[in-house]
Amino acid sequence: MSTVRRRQLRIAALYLVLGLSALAAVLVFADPPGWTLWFVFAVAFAALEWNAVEVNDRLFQSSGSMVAITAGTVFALSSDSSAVYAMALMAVLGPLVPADIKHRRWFQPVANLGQLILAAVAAGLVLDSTLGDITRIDSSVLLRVAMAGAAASVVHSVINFALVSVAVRSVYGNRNLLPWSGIHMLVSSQVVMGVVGGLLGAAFRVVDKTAVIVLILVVYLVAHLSLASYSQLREAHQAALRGFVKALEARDLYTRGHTERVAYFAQLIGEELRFTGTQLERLRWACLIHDLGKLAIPGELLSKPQLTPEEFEEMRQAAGKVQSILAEVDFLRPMVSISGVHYIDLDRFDPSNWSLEASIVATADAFDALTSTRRYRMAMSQQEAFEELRSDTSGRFYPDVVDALERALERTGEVYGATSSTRTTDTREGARLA
Amino acid sequence: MPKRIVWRILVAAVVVASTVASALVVSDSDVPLTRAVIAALAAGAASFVAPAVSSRNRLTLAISVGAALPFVLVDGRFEAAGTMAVFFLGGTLLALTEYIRRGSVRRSLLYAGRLFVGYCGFVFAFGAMRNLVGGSLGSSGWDALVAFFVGGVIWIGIDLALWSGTASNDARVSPRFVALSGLKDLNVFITLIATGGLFGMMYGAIGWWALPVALLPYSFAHGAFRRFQETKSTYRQTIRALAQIPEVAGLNLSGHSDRTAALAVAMAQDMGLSPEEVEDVEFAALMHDIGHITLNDPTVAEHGWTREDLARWGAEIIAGAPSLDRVASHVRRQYEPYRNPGEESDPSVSKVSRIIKTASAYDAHRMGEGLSQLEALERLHQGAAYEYDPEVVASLRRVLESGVSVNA
Repeated sequence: MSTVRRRQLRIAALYLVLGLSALAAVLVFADPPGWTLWFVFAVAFAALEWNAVEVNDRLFQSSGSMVAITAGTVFALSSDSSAVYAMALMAVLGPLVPADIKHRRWFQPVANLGQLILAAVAAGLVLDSTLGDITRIDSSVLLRVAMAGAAASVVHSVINFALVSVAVRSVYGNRNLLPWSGIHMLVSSQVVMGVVGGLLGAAFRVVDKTAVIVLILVVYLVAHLSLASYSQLREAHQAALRGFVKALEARDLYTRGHTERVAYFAQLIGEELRFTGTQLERLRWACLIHDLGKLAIPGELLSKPQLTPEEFEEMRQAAGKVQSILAEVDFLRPMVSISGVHYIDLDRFDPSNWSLEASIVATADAFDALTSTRRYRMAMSQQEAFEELRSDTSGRFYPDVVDALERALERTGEVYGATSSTRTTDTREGARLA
Repeated sequence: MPKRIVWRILVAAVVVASTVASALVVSDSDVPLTRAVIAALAAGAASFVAPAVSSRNRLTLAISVGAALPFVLVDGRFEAAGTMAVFFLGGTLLALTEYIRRGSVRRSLLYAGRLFVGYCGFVFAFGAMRNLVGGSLGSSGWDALVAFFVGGVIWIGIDLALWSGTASNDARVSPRFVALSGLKDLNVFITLIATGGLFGMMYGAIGWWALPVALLPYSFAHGAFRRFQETKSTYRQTIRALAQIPEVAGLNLSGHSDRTAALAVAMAQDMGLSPEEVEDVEFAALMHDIGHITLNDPTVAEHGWTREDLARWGAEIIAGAPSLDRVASHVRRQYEPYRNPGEESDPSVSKVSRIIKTASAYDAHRMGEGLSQLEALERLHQGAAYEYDPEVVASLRRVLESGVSVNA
């Protein structure tokens, strides 16, 4: 059994035992909810959780947890049921994601089960303790409910997040998760979701009309579906660009996979420098487009190892034209300025126009070029490539950025480029570079 | 007297007359005057909040205000005439703001009129259904919900019908296209109506707290709609930019892909294709010559190429994007003639491919060879039934005659 597997087993078992004991305690000591209503909420919760939508900020991701807060509020506000029972039981549905079952993943669902129950129990306790004593329900309690909902929601997400980071750290031993850098965004969005969830639950109790819940669910379902199609479209957009990159790379056997590797190196650097999700996405786009200028460059120029100054100028202009049409796309404009690493005239290079992001793309691009075999030279070793980057005096490659890349590669244990300074390449290396 | 001033006086007269008329109806009903005024003002103000939509239909939060009115105007009771009068007042305000915003009397009156007619349908259906189901469904709100649902369906139906009628006339596109693209905004319409209903059903119990409770879920939907449309327009811009690469590289006529796309889209709309097909036409037309970037390769230049090669290379590039599968296959078949002498035309070649082929050839004749509109069209007529699909050529002629600007 591999170390990772053993660690996975340990974490999964720990979370599962903790979660199930919490669940058992709740089922014994707390009051059950009204089942019809619970079932309606549970279906909505499961539908939202199983079809989670990937968006780069988290504001929209948590609609499932909001339904949980709404349900918790509803049951906390009635005298014969408790939020903790309803929420803990609902949490059991969360980890049953169809994709996991299809791919026969066991670690995520099992660990998630324990972790989600624990988070739900904590949030439910917050709701029960703050709202359980309310006997007369009218609009005067709404403010209190909104605050309780926010508190429960924050507790829920913080516990969840903490348990996930502990699991990832102890299993994979890395910081890929960027533990707390995005936490302020997370908390603010959870406050909003909690307030909405709490208010909806309380309003539902005050109005005391089951029909209202249908209208609420309609609005949510539509919002969720629109968000899902947004996410799909975003994916299609990125795929369209990737398709072009593939077409571009098909022209030159030596640069195949270059763009994807540059994007990967840039991502490693960005993560090392604690970039947020939005910043990382910007980097990814910038890397995707950084080589498109080549499409306009006549093939015979591209294959020449040495260019005359006139030819270099021609190449620069052709690539520049592509850059300027890409810059007409509002969304790509900032990425174009970051990715303008190619064909810069080093004599006229102005470091004050250079940004951290531009330096990241340039460093990733140069690192990949140096560690790959081109038709006019062999690949360097990783060590040599770093030396080369550090000895560059132009100021394009920020020392922090180069250091970050070196640290990130040490962390992942990957080695690029020729394996020894004699520059022989073994077959594995050859496969990667081809 | 200048025409503008006549129009303005007319608008003022309409506004005054409808205000007086609705005030009379309201005073005759049980609706409290202050509530009526607040509601009408709310409808006017809410018309400034418009979620992003796919079609050119303008849907605003005023629809939500309208949907809430049956519940909130008279405590515990529903008053049809008063409700309609209040919304009419709101609609007048809305027409006025619309006129200030867009400056077209005809359009703002049409817009407000359409909204009001749809609303009347909603109120009638709501009232009728309430009487019908009121006794049998009890008081848990289901009676109101069922009535509300039926009313909402009727409202959406009327609006869609009226909108496709007027908009297709304005933009010279087939009513089918307008109606289908209107259907794409169904989610927005439903959200707006449901938000109003949510507010209305809660207002009686929790008062103005109903406002945040109803608006917060709406704001999530609003954000999702906006993101979707933004991404859509970015996607289109990106494709357009990529399609120009062969042009800036000097491998194709400058501006050819843009012009071909504008023309092809106008033709597709004229021919009554569905919004999805029109979108395919747009993307396929933009990228129909993307295969030209391959001409950059010295070995290709050496060995020569055919039109089929160009189409195939283009399709291969486009097929790199899984979401553009269909577009790739349209581009792949664009070189094929409508039919060979003595044969039937091949049904597996799509209308989309035939449209791009014709639009592209027209632009090449016009801009590449410098022919006049008439001469270029004549060339295509000569090729109709063999090289080009006669139906498509006929549509091209209609589009050109209607004077749609395609040389932008």
